Amino acid sequence: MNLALLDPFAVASDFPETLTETLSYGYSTVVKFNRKGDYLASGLVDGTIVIVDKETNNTILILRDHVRAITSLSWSPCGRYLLSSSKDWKVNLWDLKTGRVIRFVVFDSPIWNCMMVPSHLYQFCAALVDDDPVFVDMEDEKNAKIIRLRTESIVDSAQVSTGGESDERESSVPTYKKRNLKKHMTLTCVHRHGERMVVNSGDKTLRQYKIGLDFCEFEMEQKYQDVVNKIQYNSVKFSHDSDYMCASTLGSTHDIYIWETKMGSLVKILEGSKEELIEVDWNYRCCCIAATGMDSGMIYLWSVVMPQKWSNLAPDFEEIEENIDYEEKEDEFDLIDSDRDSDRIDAEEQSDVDVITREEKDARGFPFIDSFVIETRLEDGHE
Amino acid sequence: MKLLVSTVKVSPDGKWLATASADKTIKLWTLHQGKLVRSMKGHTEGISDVVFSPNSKYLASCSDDLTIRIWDVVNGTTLKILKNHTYHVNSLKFNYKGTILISGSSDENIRIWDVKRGKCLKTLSAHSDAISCVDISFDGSIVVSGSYDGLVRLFDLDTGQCLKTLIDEERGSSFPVSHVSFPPNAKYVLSSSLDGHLRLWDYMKNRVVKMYKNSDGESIAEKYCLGADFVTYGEHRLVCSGDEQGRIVFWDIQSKEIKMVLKGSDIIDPIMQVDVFKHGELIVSVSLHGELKVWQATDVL
Repeated sequence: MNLALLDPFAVASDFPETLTETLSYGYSTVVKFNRKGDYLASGLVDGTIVIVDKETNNTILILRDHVRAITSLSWSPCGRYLLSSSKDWKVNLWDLKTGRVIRFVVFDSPIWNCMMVPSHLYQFCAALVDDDPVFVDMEDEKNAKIIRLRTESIVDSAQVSTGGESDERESSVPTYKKRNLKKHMTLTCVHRHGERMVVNSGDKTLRQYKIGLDFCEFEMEQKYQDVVNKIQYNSVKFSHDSDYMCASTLGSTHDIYIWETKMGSLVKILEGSKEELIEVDWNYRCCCIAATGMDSGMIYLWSVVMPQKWSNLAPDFEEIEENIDYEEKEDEFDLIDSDRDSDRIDAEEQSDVDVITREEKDARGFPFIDSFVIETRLEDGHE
Repeated sequence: MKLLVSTVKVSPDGKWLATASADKTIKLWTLHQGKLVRSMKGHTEGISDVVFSPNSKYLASCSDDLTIRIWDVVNGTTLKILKNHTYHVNSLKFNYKGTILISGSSDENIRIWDVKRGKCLKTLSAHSDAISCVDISFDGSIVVSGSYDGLVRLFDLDTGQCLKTLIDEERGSSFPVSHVSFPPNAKYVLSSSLDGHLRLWDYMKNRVVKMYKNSDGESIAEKYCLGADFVTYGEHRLVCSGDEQGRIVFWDIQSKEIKMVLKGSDIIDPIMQVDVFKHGELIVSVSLHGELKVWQATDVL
């Protein structure tokens, strides 16, 4: 609701520009925003998962079960469930209403990454260390179905992604990506509508592919590499419409690069952290990018800074860019006939008033969605 | 003097009623039997406002002793005491998640509190007189405030910036604003001024779209800050407010006509608060001298 009243140019900006907040709750290895962007899940190196309320920047829920570092997190579209994978070889499905694990699967090796199938709560894909990626159905609590997804030459499955958000509810087929490039491939990121993907490989290059309709053909669109500094990229994320892409960088640069994906041009370098950044996540609705620091494990947040318009405080003033010559209007100092004025006011008051129907979209064009609200508990004490 | 009551609120789960009084206590009643459950003591001065958290587990109260207390409804203990205001605290609201509490005070500031930590996150200082009332939009993004300086201001909760200032220039009203609230879709602002009228603002256009007046040219309120609210139950589209003559008046939002008048008190006594539960299926009113009434919409509308 507030966006409609803010500076439209600031609201329309495609990516954040300023470091606004740092959060420190243990050593964070993974960060993930929920779909609405009002909660941030942070996985810690000791296996704890912390849910942070974006408005207060305070922890709202702490989930403890994993005993080793969290490797990935995945929110359900409704915001009530969270899937987590850890180096303790376990994948947990959490219900945030109770804060308990409702399903879990133990694998034979550590897990690089897991991702929920958006339309099915109990289905997910996982990438395992030194093994094929798997598709898992946990509907049956005692007997989870695990299907191996065959890949041609198994080296290591680094990352899986499930494609398609809410609009592809029926097609629950997960798209898993594995390409045997010349160099060691480390990471992929698939855009949420499943149209584009980016592959981060060990040769210090990001390759952006367009995915064909049958999920079989990939057409390379862009290649990103820093020829001067020879930077290796850590983690990559698309913006909501895949028009932009951000990546954290390995080594001493401490920056996040943002590219425009149509032309492949670098548009912004986010600075401000004093350490190397590992995991990044893009909060589309709040236009905010979060990244974890390697040395301190802190979470850095970049957002759009809205300028205060002082004319909002004094509505009879108007903000102008430069001085303009004053011209008296025809009726500016006329004594207006009060009867006529009240007639006009009466006419204005005939307008229709609807106090029920809510706006469907916010000023950034995202539909308003109802997302699960985690209950505030005051008895837990401070954490 | 001991019995003067400032407000009544229904809990969101429909179990409880809470009344706040100048005798420094909050009284908790069951809504259906009207039984007094508990009298909560702790404040050292009179209490101006109480509000339930969205999960109905907690109750926040603000007092002339400069503090806000958060109570556990089930066992009546104080969980948090929020201190920072430097004068009487007049009005409170929770956001829909229950994570944030906003308060308006006579020290001219609005404060935004992190409920869990019990800390003040932001102070909004833009008014130049006591703040009588605050409200928050359903999505928790906009704060509206009414002040005795005659202004209604809208703030961005996230940044704390002032988004709009509403002044009724055409009618020349700079009377103190005694009440503000958002309708269910938060596209308008309802305000009550001590010139005795209610105004409905279209804040995007900076103007008053409806003005509601009491019958016979009498004013609604000139002295007390009386609560007003929207009744949107079923097909009804009404605005309701108590007046200083002990009546509860219902206006049609669209036509501004008075649809109904209820007797909130048997004597001439201001109706301090009308609280609307489930969009108006139940309406609860309380008068300054403590006459508490519960109305069922199906019976009266």
